[in-house]
Amino acid sequence: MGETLLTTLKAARTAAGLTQADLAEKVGVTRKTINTVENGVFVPSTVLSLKLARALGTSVEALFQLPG
Amino acid sequence: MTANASPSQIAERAQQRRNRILWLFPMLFFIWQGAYFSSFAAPHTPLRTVELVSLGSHLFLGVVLLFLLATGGGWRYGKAVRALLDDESTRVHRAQAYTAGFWALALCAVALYAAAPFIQLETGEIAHILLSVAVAVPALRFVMLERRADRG
Repeated sequence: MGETLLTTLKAARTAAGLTQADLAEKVGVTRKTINTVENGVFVPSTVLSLKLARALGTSVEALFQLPG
Repeated sequence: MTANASPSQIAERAQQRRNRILWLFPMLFFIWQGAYFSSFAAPHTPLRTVELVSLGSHLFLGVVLLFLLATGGGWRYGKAVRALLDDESTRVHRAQAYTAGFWALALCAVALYAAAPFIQLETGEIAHILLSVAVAVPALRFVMLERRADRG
């Protein structure tokens, strides 16, 4: 892939009082996927980004930003 | 496994089991490869039953591993667990594993092509080498990516 994405997912998740497993269950993926998104290893699809934003009651732009 | 485990919990355990299988069995494949070449240095014609069973088992294991890699496993679980076992990051890891498998297979074919004028290899031996690379490399690459993702 080679693309980088800045993310505030971990901060938003902990602010919402959710564990990685909780959030994974809410959006229908495994904990491993949440872990890789939080660590910037994996760039999520548009659909998953929208699901994450909805589960955390925020916008996609607040969760993910392009570097620079 | 508890009866009231959620699909996520079941999928988490099944994922770890899948990683163990996809790590252990490709290793077995390579060990098997050594046994194949040592015992088939002078193959019998026609092949003995033991040799046919060995070749058949190798082929069967290869097909099962490829099927496990392609589908994500969890065949005995419901749709929800199977969907989790084949979620977004898993599909990306599988695609990366296939890419690694393609290049390994291509390099192996190039090496066999270059070696052909100097080393006499039977069709069965070439097929055995190519099948082993086609199964083992993507499986190991997939497990590597999945474990790294799990650790973060």
